[in-house]
Amino acid sequence: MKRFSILLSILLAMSQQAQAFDFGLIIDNTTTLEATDVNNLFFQKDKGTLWMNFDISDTAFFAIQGNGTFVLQEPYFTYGFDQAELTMDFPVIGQSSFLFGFTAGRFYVSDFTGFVLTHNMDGARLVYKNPWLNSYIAVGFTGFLFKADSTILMSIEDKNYEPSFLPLAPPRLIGLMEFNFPEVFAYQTLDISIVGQLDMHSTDMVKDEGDTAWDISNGGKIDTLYAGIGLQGQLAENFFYESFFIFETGRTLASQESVTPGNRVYTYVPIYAFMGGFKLSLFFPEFLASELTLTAVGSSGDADYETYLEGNYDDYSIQFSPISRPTIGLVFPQQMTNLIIVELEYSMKPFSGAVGTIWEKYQMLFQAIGYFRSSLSDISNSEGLNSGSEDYYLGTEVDFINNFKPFADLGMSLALGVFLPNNYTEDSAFTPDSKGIDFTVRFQLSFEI
Amino acid sequence: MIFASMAWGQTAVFTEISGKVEIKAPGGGWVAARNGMSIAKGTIIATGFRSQATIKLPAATIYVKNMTRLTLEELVASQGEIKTGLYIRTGSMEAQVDKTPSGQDFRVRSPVSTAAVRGTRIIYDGSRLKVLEGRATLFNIIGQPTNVMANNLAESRDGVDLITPRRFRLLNTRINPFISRIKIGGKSVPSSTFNSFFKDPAIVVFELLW
Repeated sequence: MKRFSILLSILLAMSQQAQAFDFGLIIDNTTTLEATDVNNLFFQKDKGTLWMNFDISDTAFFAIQGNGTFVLQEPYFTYGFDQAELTMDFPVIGQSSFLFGFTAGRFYVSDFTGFVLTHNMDGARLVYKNPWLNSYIAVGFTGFLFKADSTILMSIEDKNYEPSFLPLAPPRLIGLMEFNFPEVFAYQTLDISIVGQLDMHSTDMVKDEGDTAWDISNGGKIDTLYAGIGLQGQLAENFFYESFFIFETGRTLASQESVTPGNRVYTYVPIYAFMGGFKLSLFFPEFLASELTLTAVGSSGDADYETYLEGNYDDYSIQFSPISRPTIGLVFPQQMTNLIIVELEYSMKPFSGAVGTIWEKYQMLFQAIGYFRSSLSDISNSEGLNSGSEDYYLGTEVDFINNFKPFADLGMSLALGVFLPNNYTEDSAFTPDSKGIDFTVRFQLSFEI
Repeated sequence: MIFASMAWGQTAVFTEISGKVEIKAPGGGWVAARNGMSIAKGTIIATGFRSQATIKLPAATIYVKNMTRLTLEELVASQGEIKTGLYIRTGSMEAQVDKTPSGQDFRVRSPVSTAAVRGTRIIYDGSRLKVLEGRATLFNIIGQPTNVMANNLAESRDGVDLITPRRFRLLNTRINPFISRIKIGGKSVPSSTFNSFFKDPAIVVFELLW
C-alpha cells in the first residue's frame, strides 16, 4: 500500500510537470480451444499492459509501456517492455512545410509491407517529411528484448538461443530505410524500402565454415538485405489496390559437396530470394458497410532445405527468410517462408444502420485462406507433412470471426476456424492418417481499467 | 488586372441569408449581411447558431453552414482562369464548383489542411473533406496530397496524419476489438506503421512462436 502511494505520488508529480500525461492498464484475455484428430488443447492466456504517455512539450513526447503475461496451463509468467521512447519533432507542426523527427529508446518498427520486419527494437529513428516524401531511417538491436515478446526466428541458433542470465531474444542488428512518395504519379503512392540485418550471435555457438560433421540441430549465421517496392492507390470510387515486391539477398550456411567425394563441408552461400503480393479491396458502404478483399502473397522456397530455417545443400539459397515471423491463419498458423497464400475475405457490419448504438460496433467476417508451398521442402508448421509428396497445395482454412467493441475501452472477438488439409490420397501433402480436419475456437477479451 | 478587378467587383455576392450572418471587411467593423451584398477581398463571414448563408461566385456557389467563420482571401480572373481562395477557421461549408472552359483554381485552406477542388461538389470543415461529385485533393499541413473521388472522405488529423480515402473506408468497415494505447513515435509516427499489407489485427491472429 505504501509502495502504491509512493508510485501514485510520483505519477501525480510527473503529471503536473508534463504538459499532458496519461496512463492506464489494459487487460487482455485469450481463451483457445484447439481440436485435432490427435488431441484437444484448452489454452488460456492473460496479459496485463501498463502504459504511460507524456507530452513533455509541443515538440517532445515520451511513452513507456510494459506487459506481464500469465499462461494458465503450462503455467508460466513472462514480462517485458514493449516501448520506452523519447520522440522530438522539429519544427513545431504548422510552422514549416517540412517535418523532422527523432526517436530514441525502444520503439516499434515495421517495413511498409509488414512481412519483412514488424517488431520492437532498441535504437534510434529519424523521420523527415516534406510535401512529396515521407522518409524513415532506423537502426536498432533486438538482443535486449525478452524472447517471449519476440517473433524473430531466422536460424536454428535463433530457435536454440537461451542465454543463462535472462531469457533474451535473438541478437540482431537491424537497419531500415523507407521512402514513401504520396500520390507521386497518377494519384498512385510509391513505397521503397531497404531493410538489413546482421546476425550478432556469438561465433562460439554456431557452426563454423569448413566444418564437415553434419548436424541439423545446430546451424550457422544468416545476414540479409531486403529491397522492396510497392504501389498502392484507388482504381474506382470503391475499389482500392496494394501491391509489392521484395528481393532478398545475403548469406546463409549451406552444406555443400567437398572436394573429397562423398563428403560434405559447411560453406556460406549467397541468398537470392523474393516475395511479392497484391491486395484488392472492394467496398460496399451502402450494403451493411461491407467489404470484399482478395489477397495473394507468395514467398520463394528452396527445395534443398533440410528444415524451413536452414540446411541448404546448393550453391545458393532461394528460401525467403523474413526477420520477424508473425503467423498467418488461426487454425493452420504459418510463417511467410516457402509459402503462397490466397485469401478471399468478406466482412460486414449487420447493424450498421443502428447509428449511435453499441450494435453499430459489431462486425462479422468470413475468410477462406488457400495454402500452397513454393517448393517441396518444409513449411514452418510441418506437423504431419508427407515428406514424399510432390503436392504444392497444402489445404484451405475457413474462418468465421465476430468482432464487437461496444465501448472505446472494451472489445471482444470470437473466432471459429476449420482447416481442411490436402490429405485425400497417400501422395497428398498430408496423408489421411497424418492429418485430419482441425478446428479452433478462440475468444479474446480486451478491456482497459 | 482591370479584368481581374472587374471580375472581383461583380461576383462575390450573398444570395441567401438565414439567421444571424455578419461580415467584417478589412479595416471595418462587424455588420449584418444582407441579400445582394457584395463581399470584398479579405472579408470575414461569420454565421451564428441555426444560421447559414449562400454566396454566389463567378463559377461557384458556397453554402456557409452554421457556427462558421470564413474569409474570402482571393478572387481573381487571369487569362480566363478564375482563382478563388478561402480560409475556414471554424465550422463547415459546402461548395458547388462549376466547370469552366478555361478552368479554375478553387482552394479552401484551414489551420490544418487545404482542399483543392476541380469542377466538383464538396463539404469541408477545415480538416475533413467529403466529395459529393467529381474529384478533389486534400493537402495536410505540410502539403502532402491525397486524391478524393466522389462519395469518398479524407481527413488531415493533427495536421500531419493524413487519413486517405482507403483508410477512411477501413475505419468505417472494420472493428478492431483489441485495445492499444501505444503511440508509435509520438507525433511523427509513420502513418503507415499499422497500415501494412496483411496485418490488420482484426483479421490476423499474431502468435508468438516460442
